[in-house]
Amino acid sequence: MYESRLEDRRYAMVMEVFSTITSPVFSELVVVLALFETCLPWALLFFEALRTMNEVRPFKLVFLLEVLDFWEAQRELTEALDSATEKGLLEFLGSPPTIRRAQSVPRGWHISTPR
Amino acid sequence: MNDSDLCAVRTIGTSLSTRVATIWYRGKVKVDRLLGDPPGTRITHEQTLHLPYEIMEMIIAHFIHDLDTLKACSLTCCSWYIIVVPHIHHTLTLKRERRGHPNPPPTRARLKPLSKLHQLGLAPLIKEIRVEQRRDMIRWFMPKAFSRCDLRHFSAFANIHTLRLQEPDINLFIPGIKRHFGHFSLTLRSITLYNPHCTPQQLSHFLSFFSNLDDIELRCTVTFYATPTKLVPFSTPAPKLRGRLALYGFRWVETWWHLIASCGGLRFRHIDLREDASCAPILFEACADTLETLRFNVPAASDSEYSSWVHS
Repeated sequence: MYESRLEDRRYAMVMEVFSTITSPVFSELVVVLALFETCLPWALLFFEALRTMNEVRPFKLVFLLEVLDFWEAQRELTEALDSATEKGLLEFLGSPPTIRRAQSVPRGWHISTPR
Repeated sequence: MNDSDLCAVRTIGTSLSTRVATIWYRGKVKVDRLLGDPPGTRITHEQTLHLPYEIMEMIIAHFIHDLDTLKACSLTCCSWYIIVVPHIHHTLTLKRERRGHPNPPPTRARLKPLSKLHQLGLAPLIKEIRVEQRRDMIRWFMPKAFSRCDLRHFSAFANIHTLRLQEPDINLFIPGIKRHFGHFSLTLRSITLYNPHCTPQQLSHFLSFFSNLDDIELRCTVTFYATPTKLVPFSTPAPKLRGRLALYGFRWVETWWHLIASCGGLRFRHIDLREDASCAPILFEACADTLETLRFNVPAASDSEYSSWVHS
């Protein structure tokens, strides 16, 4: 029940934000993963949201990892995306999603944001 | 003459011939240098010792984030120093006091680097200014911190393109903004504000002062409201705002209303929204023709929801 509530909330937010984009030159959607735990609750609804977004406005999907252990996070995310691809959840994309590493904030300038 | 004498004579002869050969070859090298090396040798010599200046610049550019290496490079030779010195003095940080410092320096001491840079003639090399302030300590970066001399030195920075301010008292700077920030108005391209202390309208007024501003980053973990003041429109042209907008927990929609009105619209090509999407609709509408990239994070659940989900 909680999982579906969380997913519904995420789905609604993402859709609401994205549905207001009307730019004809829009080409890239970057999903930022600041904490790797945020990957865990991904479920069907998230990919369905992306599919609906892509139908409205095609885009290139990018995952940006803002984590300390980038290599470990990248490995786990790659496995999760491979699994999603095997299930056919990412078929709607024109090109496979890419994973990027976030640039670090200058020393002493990081302000943590509350969860 | 016995055998031992013969051996001694041979040894002396060998050492003498070696010494003579050494002197001969050293002399020959010196004469060759004076007369000029053979053409083929000379080209090789120059190629190995004198890399083109732009190649040296490219190599040293790999170390721009490694200040210790840059400082070491600057001591190597004059040509390396010339390449390295703009990187060393690229950023000026007016620092906060160290945590647990027994005697925090007075306000004026934090602006001391200004006079030092001015004396050394390094002010034109500074491209970025950062001001560090901590929320839990007394803020020091405010108009009254500048003496006449500090203000004169601060106004000497003519090439600043990036400004990063922590906890700035925008409301205090607004009345005399031309005096403190007027020299940045034409060169500033990027601004980052952490927890600005002002009203939404004061913030948009402040941002619209910089005519060539393209990138804006606003990070807000706490919202501060200040006393509203009367705002007089600037005579300088409004910024085009054609670069990147990054908002971290920023919720003031009114800021964008005012900025759109004063700038005649927004033209951001990249938008980065974190933690809060309150401003998304108005920003997407304003950037309807220009938006190319959107970054966002999937909003985190509340602690109770999250722990319930984890334990379920």
